[in-house]
Amino acid sequence: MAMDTTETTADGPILEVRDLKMYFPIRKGLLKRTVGHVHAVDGVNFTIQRGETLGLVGESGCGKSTVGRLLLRLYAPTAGEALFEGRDLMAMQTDELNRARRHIQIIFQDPFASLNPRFRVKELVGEAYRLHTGDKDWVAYVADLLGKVGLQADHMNRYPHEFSGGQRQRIGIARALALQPRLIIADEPVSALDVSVQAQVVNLLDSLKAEFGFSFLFISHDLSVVEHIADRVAVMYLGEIVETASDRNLYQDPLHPYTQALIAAVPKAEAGAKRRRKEVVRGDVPSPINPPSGCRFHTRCPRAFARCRSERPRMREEKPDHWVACHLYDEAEHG
Amino acid sequence: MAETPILEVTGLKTHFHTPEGVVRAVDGVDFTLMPGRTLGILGESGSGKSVTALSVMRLVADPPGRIVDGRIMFEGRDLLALSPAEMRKIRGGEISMIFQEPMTSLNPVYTLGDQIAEVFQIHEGMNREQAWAGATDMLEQVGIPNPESRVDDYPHQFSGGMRQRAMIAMAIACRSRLLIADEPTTALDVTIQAQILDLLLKLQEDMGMAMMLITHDLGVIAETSDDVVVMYAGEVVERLGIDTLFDDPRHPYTRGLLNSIPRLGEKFTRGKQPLEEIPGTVPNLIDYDPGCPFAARCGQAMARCHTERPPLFKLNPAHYSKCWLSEADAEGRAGVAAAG
Ligand SMILES: Nc1ncnc2c1ncn2[C@@H]1O[C@H](COP(=O)(O)OP(=O)(O)OP(=O)(O)O)[C@@H](O)[C@H]1O
Ligand SMILES: Nc1ncnc2c1ncn2[C@@H]1O[C@H](COP(=O)(O)OP(=O)(O)OP(=O)(O)O)[C@@H](O)[C@H]1O
Ligand code: SF4
Ligand SMILES: [Mg+2]
Ligand SMILES: [Mg+2]
Repeated sequence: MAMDTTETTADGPILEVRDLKMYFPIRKGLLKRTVGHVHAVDGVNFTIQRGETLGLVGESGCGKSTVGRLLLRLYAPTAGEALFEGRDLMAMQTDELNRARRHIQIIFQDPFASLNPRFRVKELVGEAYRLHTGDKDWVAYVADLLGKVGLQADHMNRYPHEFSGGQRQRIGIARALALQPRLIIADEPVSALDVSVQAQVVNLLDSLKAEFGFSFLFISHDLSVVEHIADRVAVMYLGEIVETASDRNLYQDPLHPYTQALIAAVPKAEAGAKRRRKEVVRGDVPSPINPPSGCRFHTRCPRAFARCRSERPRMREEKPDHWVACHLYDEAEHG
Repeated sequence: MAETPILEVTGLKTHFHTPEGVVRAVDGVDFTLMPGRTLGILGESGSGKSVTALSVMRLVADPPGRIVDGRIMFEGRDLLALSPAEMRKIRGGEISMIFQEPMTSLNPVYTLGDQIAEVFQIHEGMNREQAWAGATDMLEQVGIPNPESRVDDYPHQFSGGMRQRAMIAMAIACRSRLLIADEPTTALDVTIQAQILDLLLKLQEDMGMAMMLITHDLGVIAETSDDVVVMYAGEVVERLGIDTLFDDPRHPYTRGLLNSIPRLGEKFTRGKQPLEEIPGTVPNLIDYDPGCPFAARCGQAMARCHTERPPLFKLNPAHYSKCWLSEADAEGRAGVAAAG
């Protein structure tokens, strides 16, 4: 395929996010004065290695989508860096940003809203590719790509409304793949689909990843799907990442009380689950407008102690490549 | 079991007359719910779960909808034969429902206290003061902190989880014997979902009510239900006990569903395997196909499946399957073998 793949730096992580922050102003009154901020993303750090799938999990409103949108610079960040192949996306000027953007693509949750209804599949999938490469055979390229995502070549002359939800998500995936990006961000790509169709799309993403070798940020609130698809997992709570580890360590040996609570709360689809129900954490997620002091989870944490209310815990590597932000693991606690 | 069921639905069909044609939203639904037990209704989007529930409540909008066939027996009474006035007394009194859309049952212009108190005034004949005290008490029971100050709040001042609790408070206010909960936790986060499920199970234990819990989530079914009904394209395709659902499901759709979801921990115990896919998509409910509605997607379909609709085969008194493959093991048939 006629694509230029220059600018690739072979080593180092594909993405390194450092202390990223996004505060949305809350404006009130006639003069639209800023009366406060939504601390949507508040000092987030993570790294994605080349070819790796990082799962980003957490409950509604914790800031997952905002992280994804920041990486595409759909918002101007309040602070922080995001090094894509060593260069800071957050500091790029328009030209450089546009060049970087073709290497980073996004797949959205809602296949209905994310495809322009007035364009045919051919344009939706192939337009950017045609403009970037000038390839005269772009239609053949689109046909080939449609085959790879499980659609047929003759689908390319149809409009999005002629497809089912699962098929539309396949179109969205083909569009994201068209420029052969090095990083794909998928924001809840299967959450809007029927249960019986979710498996089709999850398997498709898995096999495309093996074939194309892109790095992958997979955002989801569904812990089971993330476990299935990710190599590493980051858990978010109220704008912060509280734990990062390999898939196995995170699920089999969760360290943060929130991660433990989250895993315990997932309903288990197995015989006897009703008899084995356990007590789960209490309370609602606090507002990101006035997040709790200290550790943000202290208002719901069954193991909170005095320091948790006053001091914000720092991320530390408690076990090899297993990071956690919780005072239970402070040096002092170990004596 | 000599006990009589609290709810028995037989051969239920509810259709919608639309300009595009007749939508067979519910087209052959049979199930039985025993007192004090939880019946889970499982099925994906559009399979007819909500319309089944609304049919039991007799709340299907007519037109365009109509219950065209079947029987709904509640404690021995035929609900379809009751007058609208009699039915109104049953709704919110003996049977109550938590609706899928929280905002359809909570009125945004009244405080939560007013709305719960109204239930007490209508169904229990309480005066305003008693009803108000009852409302505060209900909010406390469903775990709303500081209920005395929260009764004066409007629905929009509550978080999603709190709204869901308020709806539950309203639904259980008059201690109905049957609670129908339509996707009571679908919009909620897992930690809040777990709290709400705990609450429902505890209330059920305290009050001995039967529950019909509708969901598309196999995990939620596993954690709440005693018996299960699996719906596909408007029909009950399998009815079975919760343990049998996991140990010996018979219908190919049920089996496909069980294998298509990733389970926590499975990747590490069995190694990563692709999820099982159910190819294709659900059929539309307008074009009537004489065969099994699952035939086009079924890996085990035989010639007969495409031409002849299978009846609900009885494998044992607690297990029914609407699939030709079950014929050989069946003791007999139940319900109606739907014909075109
Ligand atoms: N453009 C915006 N303006 C103001 N606040 C915003 C904006 N976008 C998001 N927020 C707020 O920021 C917080 C994080 O939102 P975000 O959409 O990132 O959460 P999420 O983790 O993706 O949640 P979900 O699982 O519901 O998709 C929320 O409190 C949200 O209301
Ligand atoms: N008023 C109506 N007019 C026409 N069709 C309707 C109407 N109400 C429901 N239907 C159709 O009946 C079918 C069953 O709908 P129902 O709401 O029972 O599905 P469900 O199983 O509850 O799905 P979900 O999981 O999405 O809530 C759907 O195909 C729906 O489009
Ligand atoms: S009846 Fe036939 S098509 Fe239907 S589920 Fe059984 S085997 Fe499959
Ligand atoms: Mg989101
Ligand atoms: Mg419904």
